[in-house]
Amino acid sequence: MSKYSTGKMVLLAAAALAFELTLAEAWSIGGARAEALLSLACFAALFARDSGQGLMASWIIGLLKDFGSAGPLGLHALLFLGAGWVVLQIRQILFRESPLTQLGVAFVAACWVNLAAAIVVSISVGGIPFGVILGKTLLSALFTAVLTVPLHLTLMHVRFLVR
Amino acid sequence: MGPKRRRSSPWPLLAVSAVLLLTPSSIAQKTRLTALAGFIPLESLGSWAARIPSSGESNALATENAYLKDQVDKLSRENKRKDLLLEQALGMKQPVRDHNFRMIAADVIFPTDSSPWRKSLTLAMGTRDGVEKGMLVLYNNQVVGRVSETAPKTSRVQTVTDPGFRAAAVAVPRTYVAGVSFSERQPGVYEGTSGQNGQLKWLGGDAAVENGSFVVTTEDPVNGVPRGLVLGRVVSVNHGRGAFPKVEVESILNLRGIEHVMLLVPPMEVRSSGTPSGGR
Repeated sequence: MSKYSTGKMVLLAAAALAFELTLAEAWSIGGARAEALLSLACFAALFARDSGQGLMASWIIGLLKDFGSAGPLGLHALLFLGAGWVVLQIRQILFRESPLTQLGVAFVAACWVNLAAAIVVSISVGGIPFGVILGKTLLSALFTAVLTVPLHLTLMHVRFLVR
Repeated sequence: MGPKRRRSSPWPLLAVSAVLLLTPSSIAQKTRLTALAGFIPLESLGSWAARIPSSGESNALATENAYLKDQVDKLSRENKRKDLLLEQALGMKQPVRDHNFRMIAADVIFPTDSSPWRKSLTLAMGTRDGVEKGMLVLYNNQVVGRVSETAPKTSRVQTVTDPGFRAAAVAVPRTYVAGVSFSERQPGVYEGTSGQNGQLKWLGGDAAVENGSFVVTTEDPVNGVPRGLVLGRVVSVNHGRGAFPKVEVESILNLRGIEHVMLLVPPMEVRSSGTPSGGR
């Protein structure tokens, strides 16, 4: 079973933030892109030593995402915490080493985070057309799920990255 | 029997998140932008790495040669950058000539936002360099966005595609961007949508809008916006059943690829009273 150090996870999250702010946007399609930080938060929740570590790691990763955004500080921290908490509740019944499980968890988490963030942005700064919300949420979730499989596989096998 | 698993409650972190969400934006944004200033050195990391000399006496000439080559490259890049800035300044001359606007050139650190629903750029220039909240950001005569938050060394620009960006605008045929009579055209409100295209809203049903028309700003002295700056190009007009046509506007700029921008500094009298000095 993979364990990780929260400190290393935060360093990885900082690198993932730099990736999201530079390369991920360049590879986006229709504004939808893979969310490396969310994928990392899913790993943090799936493979946490205990629920405290999982919650803390998910929250910090979300907070890092907030640092790169013009949105309210704490929004992604809250949403990632929610996603992490749900994963921690159900991980007993999940086969977390399975790529299919990781793919499914990342897809659902990305749908939740994107949809909730879109609603908050729509209410606080201005309306986003429904078609844009739907299309971007699904496409982003798909890209995130696809990125999750190789990312989790790497983190599970290249242990010095996380331990 | 295995070790007893510890269950932690998410409530403390939830409470901290709520406190952060309620923190005034001026404090929260400044903290974030200051933290992002830590990424500024990454801009020159590539050239710095290239300057590290190789070890050994026998490599001295090769090292010197590489160093000089690097210097030539560096100067060429600087020259190209200055050319770009000059080109931008000349492009902006027409729309801003009447109001004594001043321009500041700024480098872009990050051309995007980490949230897929917000669209912003981070600039390597802040209040220490004279950047103020609300300043218009341009590339040639095209609007990139507006400064939304500032910190001492960095600032964040809300781009034209952000759902919070709004500006008074008119649609004009492609051939009349410079000399069009604005008083004869119906103004609307341009809004970002967080998608690829923005929208031109609240245009009268009889407003003449066609595909390919440029959407340009109308004069807004209060916010320091001169007229005639390009916001985008009309890609579709749907008259539908409502009173107002639905006009989709695509950005002409590739915001992902922008490395330098110009900040438009309104003259002091406009900033203090909201009235332009030489407006028509």
